[in-house]
Amino acid sequence: MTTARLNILVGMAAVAVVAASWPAAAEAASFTASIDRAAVAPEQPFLYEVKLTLSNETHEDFRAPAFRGVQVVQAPYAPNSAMSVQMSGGNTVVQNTLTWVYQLALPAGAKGSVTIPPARVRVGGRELTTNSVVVRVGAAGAAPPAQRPARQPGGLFPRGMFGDIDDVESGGQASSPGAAFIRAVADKHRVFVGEQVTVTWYLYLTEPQNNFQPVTQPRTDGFWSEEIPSTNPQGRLAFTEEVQGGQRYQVATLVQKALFPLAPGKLTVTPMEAQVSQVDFFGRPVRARRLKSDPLAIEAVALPAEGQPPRFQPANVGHYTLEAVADRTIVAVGDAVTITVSARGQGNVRNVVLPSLPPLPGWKGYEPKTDAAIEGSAVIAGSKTVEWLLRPERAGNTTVPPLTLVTFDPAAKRYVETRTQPIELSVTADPMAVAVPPGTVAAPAVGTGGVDNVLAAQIRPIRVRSAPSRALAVSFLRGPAFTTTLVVPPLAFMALAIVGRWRERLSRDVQRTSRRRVRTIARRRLGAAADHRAAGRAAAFYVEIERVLRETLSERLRVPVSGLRLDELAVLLRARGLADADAAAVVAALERCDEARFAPGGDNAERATLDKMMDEAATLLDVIGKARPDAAVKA
Amino acid sequence: MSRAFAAIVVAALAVVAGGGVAHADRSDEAWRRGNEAYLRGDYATAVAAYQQLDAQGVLSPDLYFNLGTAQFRKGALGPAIWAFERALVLDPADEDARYNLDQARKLAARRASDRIEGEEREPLWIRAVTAVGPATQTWTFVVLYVGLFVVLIARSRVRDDLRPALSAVALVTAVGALVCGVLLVGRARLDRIPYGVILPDAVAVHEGADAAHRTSFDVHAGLRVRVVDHDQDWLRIRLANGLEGWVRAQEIGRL
Repeated sequence: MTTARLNILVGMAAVAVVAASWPAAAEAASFTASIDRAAVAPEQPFLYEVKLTLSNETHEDFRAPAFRGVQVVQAPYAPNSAMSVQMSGGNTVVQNTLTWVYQLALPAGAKGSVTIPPARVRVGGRELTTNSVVVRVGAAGAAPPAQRPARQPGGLFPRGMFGDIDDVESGGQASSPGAAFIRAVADKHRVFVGEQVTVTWYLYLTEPQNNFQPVTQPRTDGFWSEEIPSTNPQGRLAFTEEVQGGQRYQVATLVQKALFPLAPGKLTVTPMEAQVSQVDFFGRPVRARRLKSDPLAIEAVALPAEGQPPRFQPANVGHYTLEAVADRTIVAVGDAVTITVSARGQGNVRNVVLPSLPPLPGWKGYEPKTDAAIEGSAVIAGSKTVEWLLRPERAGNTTVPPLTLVTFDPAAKRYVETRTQPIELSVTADPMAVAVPPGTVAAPAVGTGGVDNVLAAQIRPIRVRSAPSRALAVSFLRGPAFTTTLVVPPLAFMALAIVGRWRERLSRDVQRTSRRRVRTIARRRLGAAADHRAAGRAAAFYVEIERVLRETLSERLRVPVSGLRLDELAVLLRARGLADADAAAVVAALERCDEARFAPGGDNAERATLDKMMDEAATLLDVIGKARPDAAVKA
Repeated sequence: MSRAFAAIVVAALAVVAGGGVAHADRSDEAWRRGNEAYLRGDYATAVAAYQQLDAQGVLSPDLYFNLGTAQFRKGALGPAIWAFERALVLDPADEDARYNLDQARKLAARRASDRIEGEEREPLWIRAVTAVGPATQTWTFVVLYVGLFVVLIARSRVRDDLRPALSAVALVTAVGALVCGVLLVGRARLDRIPYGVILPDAVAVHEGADAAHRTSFDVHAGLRVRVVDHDQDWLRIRLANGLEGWVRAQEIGRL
């Protein structure tokens, strides 16, 4: 094989691969918006449709466009979804189509054109936006009939090339005698806008099939759709026998939907497509057949303008009763009352527009909470409830006026008004006077003629003080004071310990200094006494001796002894620990000094006497040193 | 020299005291203004006055109680619950705040309630720390701590025969101070764990710190959450069962 031929083969293979994968590549997500007509007259409802087509991806965060300059008559609760499966060239392409249909109207007096900005959605992490749609204001016109969707491109290879599908059989009638088919049946073909049409898709089989696979779900553009749940367990098909045209069929209900037209005009329910097959020993489908129902045409008739009340909402078609109740009728200022408005009946319950509560002077209203409960049956019925939470802001009586629901009864072909009863609400003045859960008692108020003085639960009032109390603990804990408190006690403890030791040491130093000083003084005085002795001045000698004794006593005892009598001094010396004899000796020496000083001819004393006195004084100084210095003693 | 020093100290004290008095006057004026507005039914003005005090850093259970009550009257249940929670953080024994908090939560639950499945209990240490209010913990610790050192100082100065008794008292006091100190350390740690309350009626919790991220779940006013992370103006919150997501910072009232 030459290189050129090899290149050609490789190139062909590459082209084949690309071509085979073309359907999947071609089915990247598309997101478009459109309206159902070219021109719209003011106040004429029209349909705005947003269509998202996906392949093997999920969407999230759908955001409708900001409808400025148009009125939203009806918004979808959820998108209509349809799935299609295409098998060709060995590839299987699954497409999900989601459709959001809004019923819009231009306000009265609208002129020119109105642009609806793009809708947005996130698919696979990227944001997609639709095209903007320009609504041209023009003469009223009916919506064009829904177009039958074009067949999707089938890929490189012809459909059924590999024998996976024998045939596509369609229609309410079998395309050939004895063939299987799907039939779509509507209970009505001409209904009012908003009136229910029940469409049922039946599967007709002439021979048992053990595999049924939906391929394309019918599209119900222009309708509000509610699927009626199957009563069969786990969604299994339940077959009954039916004879048509002499042919015996096994018939099963595939799906049943309640459809509510959103706008007048001719609407089309697209065909349902499915595949039935038998399964071989290995579980593989064999002899598969593609079945397809016929499209259904439904004519939606506009609601009669004659006799239409001004407050009528186009979505309110059906038969309803209306009720409004309050969970309590006596309430305290600041407490809450819940007023529940509920409509119960048959019709497009999820979409019915309930009357709004008018603003009540002195009451604060919160965003209402809406809920709908659908009862699954052939005729859609149920209830829709709106809960209004109200809080009174001042005392007094308030009447919630009757609420009116205007509906169109398609059976009677007339408009019906349903009213609720007015609700009387009483608001007590004193916020402190309320307390108790409903049902708690209440003694009748004096002079009220038996009216229950119901006291409802209420919050406690504010604290009116001259100044707010402070969270001292928290402030203290978070402030520097806490750190100070942590640090100061141990520091104080340590400081006191240090100071104690220092003082002790200082004290020892003081005693030593004192002793040294006493000794110095004593030496000086004794030296002076010795000089007087040598000079023969006995009186002066005794003066010095007495002085040295008294000064030593004062220093040692830390008490000035000059003011003490000698008997007091003796007691003091004994109290400071001197023996009686020593104390007496000290006192005796001082007495002798006094006597010698004042004795006549004192200077004539003998030298031996003076020497003896000098020795005795030196001895007494040692004795005085034995006295305790610090005991507090009262003389 | 010493006279000049004394004069400087006296002047500084006068300035500090004067500033404190002026600050207290402003606080009292806002407090009075808030109370008067509340009593005449002007709840918005009352809330603004109380918030002014909060912005001044006034830590008062009374302030948060009144703020919560005014928010409740105003209809803002999320901020009301936040304020009552703040009051209870400062004073867990505040029965009025607890009662009003219950009332606010009941009212909020009538509009929407969040039932946290698989809610985990708080750890034991958090329950132990929050079993007693901060005031009791703080003052008990201070008394025991200071008392311990007073006893130790006294012990060093008494006769020898009294020392064993004082040693026993010091030991008991030290154990008490240690327990209270551990609780205070736990409270300080708890204060560093940021809790918050959902303020708006309903908040969409996103998977990431951007509104473009997918909504994980919704929470409603008054729900207590823990803040575990932040990214610019977004906070990552964790519910009591461990569920996490991102919300805008202004949607959370930090406790």
